[in-house]
Amino acid sequence: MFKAIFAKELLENFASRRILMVLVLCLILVPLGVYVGGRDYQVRLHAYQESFRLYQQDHKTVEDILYKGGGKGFRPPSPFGFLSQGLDIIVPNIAESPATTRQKPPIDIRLNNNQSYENLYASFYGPLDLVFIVSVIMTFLAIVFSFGAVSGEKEQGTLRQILGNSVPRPTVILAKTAAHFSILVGAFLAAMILSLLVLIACGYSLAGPGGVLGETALALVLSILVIGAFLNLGLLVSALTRQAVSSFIILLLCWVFLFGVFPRLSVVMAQLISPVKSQQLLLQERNRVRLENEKARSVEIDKIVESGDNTQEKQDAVSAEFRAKLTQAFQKLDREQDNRQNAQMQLAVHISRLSPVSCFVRPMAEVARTGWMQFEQYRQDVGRFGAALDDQVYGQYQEFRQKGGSNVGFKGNGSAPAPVLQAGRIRTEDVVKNVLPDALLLVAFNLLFFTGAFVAFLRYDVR
Amino acid sequence: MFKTIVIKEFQENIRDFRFVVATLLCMIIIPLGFFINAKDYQAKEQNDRDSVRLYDDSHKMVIDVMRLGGAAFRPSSPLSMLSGGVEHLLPTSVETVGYITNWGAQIQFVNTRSLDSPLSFLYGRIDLSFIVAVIMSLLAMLFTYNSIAGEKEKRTLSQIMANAVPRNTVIMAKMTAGSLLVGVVFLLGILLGLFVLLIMGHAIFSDAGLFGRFLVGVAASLAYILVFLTFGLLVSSLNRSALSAIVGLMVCWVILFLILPKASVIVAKILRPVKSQQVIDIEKSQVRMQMQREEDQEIRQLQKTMPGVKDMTERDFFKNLRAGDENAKAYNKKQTEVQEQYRIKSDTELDRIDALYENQRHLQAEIARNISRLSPVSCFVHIMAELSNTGFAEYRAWQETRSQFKQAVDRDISSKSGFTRFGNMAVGGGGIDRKAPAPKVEYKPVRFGDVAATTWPDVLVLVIFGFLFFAGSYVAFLRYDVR
Repeated sequence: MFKAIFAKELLENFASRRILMVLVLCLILVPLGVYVGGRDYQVRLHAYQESFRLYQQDHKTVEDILYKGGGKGFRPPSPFGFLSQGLDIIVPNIAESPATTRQKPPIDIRLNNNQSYENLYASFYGPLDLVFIVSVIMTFLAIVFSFGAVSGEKEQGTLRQILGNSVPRPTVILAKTAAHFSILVGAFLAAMILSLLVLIACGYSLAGPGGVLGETALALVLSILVIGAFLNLGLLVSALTRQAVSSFIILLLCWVFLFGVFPRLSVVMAQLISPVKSQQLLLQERNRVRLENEKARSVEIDKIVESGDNTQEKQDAVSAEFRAKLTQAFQKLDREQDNRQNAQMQLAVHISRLSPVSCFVRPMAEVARTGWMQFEQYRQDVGRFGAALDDQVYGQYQEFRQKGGSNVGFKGNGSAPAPVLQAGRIRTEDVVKNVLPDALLLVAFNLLFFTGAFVAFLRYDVR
Repeated sequence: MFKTIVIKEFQENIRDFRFVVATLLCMIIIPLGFFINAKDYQAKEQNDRDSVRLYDDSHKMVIDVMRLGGAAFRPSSPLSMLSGGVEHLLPTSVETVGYITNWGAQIQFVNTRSLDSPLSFLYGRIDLSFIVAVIMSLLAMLFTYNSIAGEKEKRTLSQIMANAVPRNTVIMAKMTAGSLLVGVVFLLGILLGLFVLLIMGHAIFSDAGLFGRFLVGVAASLAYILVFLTFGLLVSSLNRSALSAIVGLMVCWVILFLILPKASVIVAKILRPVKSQQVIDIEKSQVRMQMQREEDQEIRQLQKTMPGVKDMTERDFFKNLRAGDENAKAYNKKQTEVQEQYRIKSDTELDRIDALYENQRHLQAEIARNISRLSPVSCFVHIMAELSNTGFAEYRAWQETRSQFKQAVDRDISSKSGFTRFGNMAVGGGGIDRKAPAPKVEYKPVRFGDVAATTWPDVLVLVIFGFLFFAGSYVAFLRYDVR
């Protein structure tokens, strides 16, 4: 019986125009989005390699960093950007140390994203990446597919005829769900296979080091879960209503709320509940702390100069003491800001998880290495880079103040190789650990909506 | 007759649950959006004020700018409730980079705001532009999808047509009733939103210009809603069942709203590829260094060959220069000329690279923008972003501000920091008034006239869309065969 209803549903769907729409949209948009993402990655990779090469040409030694505009550390683009552009446009892609030798360690590393200004239009309209195609187009198609699955048959009276025979209700709803799921996921899988071929043609390797298969598989699982969630939501609403048009309108409003309104509201709610001071203000506060520290250090050094027992060792000891104080003060400021920002982010993430779309969008950014984990990783890389610059470059400046002036000299090894920012890699296991709660929630949404549809269908009164 | 049909449409729509949904959505989401954005603006404004205060405290004089670097800040837009636009990508400040030398200050854009709330970048903002572009357009279509197709399906249209009712009266009345209903519901939401802003003491009530822009934004929203009402009417006239009308409408909406604008950027990137800013910045820095090397070589050559000074030691040269020695003065003059010549050469070359790059980028952006105009959504969101000072005109204005800030720093510091170099010694910078007030540039928002000049094609296209859709639905309705 299951097989017969399953086949009937498949045939009905194949005979309708909807299947054509799904196939056209899937088979065009998904490979196109992947192709655009792949090309974009190649352009960015070229820009990154070219910038790195040009920078390395002029910054071979410590001396080059001192006299040629400071040190720079670049963030390589993510090869999985075709899955989700995520925060890539706003996460800094360049870290610059001060171009002056005046600043004393710990130096301020300026983080900037010089790619954001060339992507104003792309950002204004949003990217056409896989995450957009799945979270918006595929979920919309899931609704288009399922809104009439039960209510349409109620309206036409065919459901009454089916249930007039000895057909178990669970078999009917299970067969309907399986048929709709097979068509939608089948079309999506076909599109993904085509996309993988596009990636191979673009020069990507699937397996081995640098292969994209693992991340694509992870993205595929998340995509199928979110499509399934909306399909089941469609069945639930369809089972609860008596007219196809009403179920479509309700679903449409649910869709807009879940993809457009709720995730946005979650961020704002978190901002209102747990406000965080701006990065700009933090930078100015750091500047103020640095100035005060410098002023206090200067007073102490002047005391040594005036004391008559003025030695390099004594001045160095005072400088080291103030450097430690400044480091502590900066760490305190940064820690406070990080704690506040992480608390706000966590709150927003938890609230947003009430929508299946958010459970899909944020994890996809992490899978694509364009999310917050990537930013945290880059910050750690920059921290190590800054520490190396402090030790080998800026911290090697020695000042000896005397009455009537100061002697400043570089005591380090100017011809030593310049420190280079080593970009760390986020392991797939860490990503899986991070996205697991969202994946489980998506499973829960699927179960919840399907159970709802199942119960509503069982309780349907055919009279 | 017209009045009768309008009243009938009104009554039908008001009894429908769609009206309740539309009213609830407008009365909740619009004021909520205003409240959220006003709160967000208040927080940002406070942060901006504190940042500027801290900066001003530590940057009172020219010497402070020389030691710590200078900056000019861009405040948040008070009209960001209309549209967040690309505000998260716009520079939050322009800042000097490194030492300010006689070669002129290097000024760069800095954006610290985008990382203040990364998730809002990921999920988007809930501003009026989003509410109207997505929610109101959907509501407009939900109000009209069955106005003709539904009547065809129920056969009530045949009954109406069987009487002596002019067809144009019917469609005009349906359009009028739908527009009035959606318009009133929307305006009620706006009024409630304004009341919320009034309670919060928002800046738009203290500035007539801002309030005027707000009203223009509301008018643009109404025009956009009207376009989608006519679009709904068109699709409804072309279909025989309400279900196929709504599904067709939604598919068109997804293509117009979600796919076309994104595709326009992709097409523009393929047609006009532009080098990355990252590479341009490095190329500029190489040009600058190359010029500095050439200048250095020429000055050393001058020192080695100029009669009267070539045999002087560093100490002798500076002693003679102070004493007014003619040869030393001539060398100094010649060196200044060489420095000036290289500064001009460097500026010209850097400006050329910038202009070339900007031109390429502008062409790419124009292609994207013109293609995106095929969608009424793009036209609308552009108008709203420019009105809110969070759009592309604001970015161009900040490019201008960057130039002005550079001019101010060059005027007060770079132009006065000429050094006389001889051997390995350099003496100079004495012309700078270190105790003079630090150079500053005041923020000037984009004027309404400039906004109008940028957005008039979008307004025109939006009006054309409205006429086209209505004319289409009018013709389709007149040609409808009731049999």
